[in-house]
Amino acid sequence: MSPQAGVTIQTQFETAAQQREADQLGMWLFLATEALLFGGIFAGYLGYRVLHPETFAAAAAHMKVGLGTLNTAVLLTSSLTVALAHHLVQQGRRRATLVLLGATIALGCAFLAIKALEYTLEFREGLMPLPGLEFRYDGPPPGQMFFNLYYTMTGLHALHLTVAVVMMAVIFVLVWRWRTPDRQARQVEMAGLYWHFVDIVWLFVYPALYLV
Amino acid sequence: MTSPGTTTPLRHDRQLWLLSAIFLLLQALLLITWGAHYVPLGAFTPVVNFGIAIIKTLLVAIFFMQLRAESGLVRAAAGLGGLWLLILFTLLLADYLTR
Amino acid sequence: MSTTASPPLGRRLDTRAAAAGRNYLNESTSLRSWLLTTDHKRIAWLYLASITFFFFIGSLAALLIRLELITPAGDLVDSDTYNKLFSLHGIIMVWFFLVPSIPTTLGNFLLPLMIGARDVAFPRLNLLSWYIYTLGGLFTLTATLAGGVDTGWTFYTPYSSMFSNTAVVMAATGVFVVGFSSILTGLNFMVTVHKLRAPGLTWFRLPIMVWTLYATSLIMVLATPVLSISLLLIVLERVFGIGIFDPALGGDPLLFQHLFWFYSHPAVYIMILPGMGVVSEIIPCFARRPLFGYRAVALASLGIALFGFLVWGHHMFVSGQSLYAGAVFSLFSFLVAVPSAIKVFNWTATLYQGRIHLTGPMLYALSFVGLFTLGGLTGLFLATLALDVHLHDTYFVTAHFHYIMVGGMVTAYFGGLQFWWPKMTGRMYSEIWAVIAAITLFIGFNLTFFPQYLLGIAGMPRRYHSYPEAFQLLHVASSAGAVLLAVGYLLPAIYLPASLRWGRRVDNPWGALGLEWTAADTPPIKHNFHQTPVVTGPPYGYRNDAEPA
Repeated sequence: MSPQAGVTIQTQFETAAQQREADQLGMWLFLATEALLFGGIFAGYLGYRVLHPETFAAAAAHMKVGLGTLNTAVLLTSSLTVALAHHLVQQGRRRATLVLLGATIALGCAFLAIKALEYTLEFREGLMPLPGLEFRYDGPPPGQMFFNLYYTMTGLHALHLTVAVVMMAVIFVLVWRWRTPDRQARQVEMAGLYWHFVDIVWLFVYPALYLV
Repeated sequence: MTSPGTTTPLRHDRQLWLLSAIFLLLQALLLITWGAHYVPLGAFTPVVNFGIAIIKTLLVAIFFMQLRAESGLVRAAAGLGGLWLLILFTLLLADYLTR
Repeated sequence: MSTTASPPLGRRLDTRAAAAGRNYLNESTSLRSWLLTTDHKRIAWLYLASITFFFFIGSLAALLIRLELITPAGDLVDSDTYNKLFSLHGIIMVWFFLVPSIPTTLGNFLLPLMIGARDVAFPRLNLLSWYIYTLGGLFTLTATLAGGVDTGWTFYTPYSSMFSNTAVVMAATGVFVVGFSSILTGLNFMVTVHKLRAPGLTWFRLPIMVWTLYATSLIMVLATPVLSISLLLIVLERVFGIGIFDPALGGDPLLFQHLFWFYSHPAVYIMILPGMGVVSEIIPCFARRPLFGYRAVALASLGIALFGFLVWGHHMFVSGQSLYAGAVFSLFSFLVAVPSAIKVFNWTATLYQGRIHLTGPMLYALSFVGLFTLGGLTGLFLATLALDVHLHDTYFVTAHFHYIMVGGMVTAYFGGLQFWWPKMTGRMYSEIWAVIAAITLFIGFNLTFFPQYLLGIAGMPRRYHSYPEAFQLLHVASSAGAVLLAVGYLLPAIYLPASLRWGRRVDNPWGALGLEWTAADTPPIKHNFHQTPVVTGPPYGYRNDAEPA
């Protein structure tokens, strides 16, 4: 990467390239920690599925596979818009970047809305094992464990996606202002990496919970 | 690698085509995995499902997250999380599969 | 990646500071300049202050435990209070002292200096880590004030998730929060070592301290998130009733132990590797010989970090995990002994034909080698599947991990602090008192914990506040040792601060080598070096005939 007027090199670095590589490495290491955070709960899922294969399959039959698949498609599309935004912001194309970032935020919100719809349907069917709510699932107890895992995994994922949407909204404003285009390119890239990561987590949540 | 000022319009177009092609591939994989749900594959269901999930992950990481343009160091950092998840899952299953 | 000509090295040459005799300590003095600093050396001091505070709280709990155990009857505190005391002791000592101890204080101070960098890769993140640490500490202290927590530091389910009616959520939140401080420090250090080494400083020219901090950081980054999620699941179960570990729902309480030890066993290496680093710096300096087997010691650090992830099931030999898994974990546990032994042999070989100077820091380092060896060897007893059935949850285990963590890490921490104290402050403390403190610590420590091995073999279980009279003699010896140990810890807390006022000004009192001694002022200036150092050779170029100044 060539030295850019817009990028301030911090005291501890010698060159812009060194600084960029450090940022990149830091971000990927952070994503590795996030992967292990989700990995803990996936490990639990794995162990329990090995212990109770049939009851898990029976409980998973209550999942809304269509909505889950739609949501996967939505997130994959948002990953494309993020990747395109990253590509175009490097070309200095502010308007196109704004459109793509806007689309990304909209797709993220769409995902959360569909997820909320799913939760509502499950609430109506009495499939929410929360204290004070009637739990009407009639299978054996490990079935409830499946639902506990379902709400924990999708909830944690939705929380991460919400953070990603807020982050994208901030980046949208920064690109809108366009004070230091080179810095904005880095910001889109960093937020984009996080966005893709949240997408990847869903790529595993989807087969784990919907396609048992 | 793509950086401002160095990308020619030709390469620019190629990048757009590449990203779009990867996107279509991802959606196709999604359709396959969705379809496989309705085919009785027995014990192979999780193999197919998670196999496709891993392929999709690699596509997103390599092309959307631009790992293909990164240094070996960054790629190693990206692989680190996966490797450690493998350790966690393997040794955990060493217990659950032999109880 | 395309490259461009880099600007000349040392382009931020700060000659003004040198001319004015300024350094990182006196360049600004307001409280604000300390609380908002991004200078890694000042952040080290922020950590030093806070972990000293937590060390005192943890030690106080330990002293109360030892006081209670002087008599067989549970007369000083009741069993509930006793449970809360050892839980508090464990939680504070593990997460608020041992895990951050050397990395955040000496590590923060030394890492950039040792690799010839102006700061860590992400200085603001470094400051944030300290604030997160402090926030986590506040949560945990609140839990203590709210009546304490009685689960032990291990938070085992289903007791912690379903039955304990103490402040589990608050305490778990505190540990959850402090975990992020650990993750960010590890991430910062890893990027720093990869990207900010001075010209010529190849991996095999790095001091062992840097290797061990790197290995520690690797564990912090990869293990801590799993602890975070397992604590989060406990909180979810307690607050929202979403029982992931609830046996009635087909949940498995052992799953928590798996996840917990996936973090906490590697965390044991977080709590020893930096100590190994410190000792690897001190011993060559005072033996006046290059470190023997440098490459083996360096690679053994990474080996320990990696193997540390494969052994967690040895904490669960009697808990109901499958026997096959137990056998696998037992085998891997023996393998960890290999890199650990490589280190001990190499430190010992470094001493051979050395010109040994028994200074305070050297006595601490030698204590470390002895105590770590004893702790490590007893670890092999516990890794033996069949023998562990007898020793599990007895004082033998307590003695074993205290030999590693207290005899090892805390001793190394005190040794390191006194080895680099002149560098950090520019002042020399009373050397005779340092020798007295080191010897007191060694005797006090062994008197405290060796009897616990004997108690464990005799069958005394851990975490009991009363015991049969036959055990009293050994318990009294252990409690007496604890008092001596406390004296050993208190002495430096007196003579080190005193040196700030009365100590003579020094530059490099040990004649030590390493970039932090040879290329930086004492104390260093704000961005460490007047000119970025260029490294041309291996570390530890000590010679037998060189005298310490």
